[in-house]
Amino acid sequence: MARNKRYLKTKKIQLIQQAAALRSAYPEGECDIEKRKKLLWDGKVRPTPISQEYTVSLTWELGWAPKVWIIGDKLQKLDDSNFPHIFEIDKAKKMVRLCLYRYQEFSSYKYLSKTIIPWTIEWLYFYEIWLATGEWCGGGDHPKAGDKKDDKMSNI
Amino acid sequence: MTDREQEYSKYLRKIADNIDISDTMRDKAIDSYNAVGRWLGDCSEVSDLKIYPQGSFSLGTVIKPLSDKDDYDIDLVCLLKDMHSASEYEIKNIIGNRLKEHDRYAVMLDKNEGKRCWTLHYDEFHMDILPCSPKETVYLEPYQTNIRFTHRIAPLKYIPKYSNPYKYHEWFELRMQVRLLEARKAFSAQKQVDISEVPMHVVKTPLQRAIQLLKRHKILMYQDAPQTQKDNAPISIIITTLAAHAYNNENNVFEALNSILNNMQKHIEVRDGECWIENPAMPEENFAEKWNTEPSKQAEFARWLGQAKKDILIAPLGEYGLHNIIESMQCSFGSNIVRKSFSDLGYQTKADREEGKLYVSGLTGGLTTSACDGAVKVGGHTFFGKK
Repeated sequence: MARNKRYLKTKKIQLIQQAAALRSAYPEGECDIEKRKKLLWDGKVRPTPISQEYTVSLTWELGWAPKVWIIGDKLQKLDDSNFPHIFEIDKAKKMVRLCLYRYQEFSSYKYLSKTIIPWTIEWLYFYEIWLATGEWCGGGDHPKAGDKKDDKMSNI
Repeated sequence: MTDREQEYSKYLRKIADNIDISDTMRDKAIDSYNAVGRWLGDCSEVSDLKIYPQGSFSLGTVIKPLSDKDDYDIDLVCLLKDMHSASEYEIKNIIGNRLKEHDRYAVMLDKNEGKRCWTLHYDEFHMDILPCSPKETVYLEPYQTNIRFTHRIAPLKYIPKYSNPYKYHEWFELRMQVRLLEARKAFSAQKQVDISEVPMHVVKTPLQRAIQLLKRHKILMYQDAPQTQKDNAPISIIITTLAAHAYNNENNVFEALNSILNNMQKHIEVRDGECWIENPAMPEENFAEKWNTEPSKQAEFARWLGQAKKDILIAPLGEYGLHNIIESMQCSFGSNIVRKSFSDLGYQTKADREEGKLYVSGLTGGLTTSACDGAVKVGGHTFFGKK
């Protein structure tokens, strides 16, 4: 009950507000809204000054979980069965879709610019260390076999 | 300094921490040499004995051995303060005989008498004990600290040699005075202890870390080299002395290494056609004396220096991607240590995020722990999804 009360008080963030926040926090990125219900964001990300630069593509359709893809030749070890914290790998197109959060850690009450984007940058940092060491230092959970992963957001 | 150099320096520093002697091992060594000192001082022939570390153990530049099979090398001065007029034979053998009187030390003592030292073998380290007496009638720190030690030229035949480890240590501290004071102040504030009570080994300056990294690079460079090259590899005292000369109190490891590697050669003098690296604690001693009779030693120093510049200053900064930088640093410092150091900082980053101390500085400024203008805090989250 307490949770419901909290949500009643908070307003969902409109796509247009999300886009404005993304443009303001990351002016180098490109952001569009398609047919009023889908947000598209692209940017070049470098997780540390000595890291490589990666192409990130984010799409978010209302009612669904945001999809974050890293795209391009800089991605390595796409064949590795231990590739960390991803939903899927498209080897042909050289892209991976990241799995950045659990359950309610993101919702349409939160800004993408303050959640998904910093988490993506962080993922890339841990990814580069993982490439050389085989160790994922960023923590996290792996759903057990049989757990259903659903792109549909439960609290939207 | 560029952002890239600053970031790279963080990893160099972590590697230096990881090749440093562990606290446990240091304490073990200190307990062990104090015990030796008590035994040596507790006999009728010796009334005033002082045992203290010299070399890397006293300068805070000790590094871990490459493998578990190798052990640490701890150099100790064993000063017989009231034996100024004793002969070299007496000085050397009073200590040797006393060690042989002890059940355990007698077993640990190296069967071969060293040219200058007695060596005790412990499980994880060996101690080179240098018996000596004051050079002048009185030994009084910090004013009169020259020592006379013995050099064996034939069985039971010794000649005197002189040194001043106390003064060398004092000179070394002076070369990094600014950063040392800063580190001591920070430690005393953090632990709420008086600055005079901050032990030397708990603070570390970029100079000490740079020397540790250079020594590690040298060991790895010569690890698989032919014996002739190994024999001519630059000695630690030369690297340490030239590094301390070239250091200008830079405040991070990369800047220190940059300054040292680009300037250390300038501190090699030529006097009457001979190479000179003066012992700052004893100007008549030339650390590079052998270079003048064995020119391949000088050539090997130049080769090591060129390689170190390339391996430490140039190659890693030519790479993009932590994984590529890790790859490029492995030849300098060893693959396990380099990978462990990057992972250590990775786990630290995760801990910073969990404590709400992690930010991103735009899309390309990278992760940072400083909340600078426009930085976005990385909120709590859990990476998910299949492995």
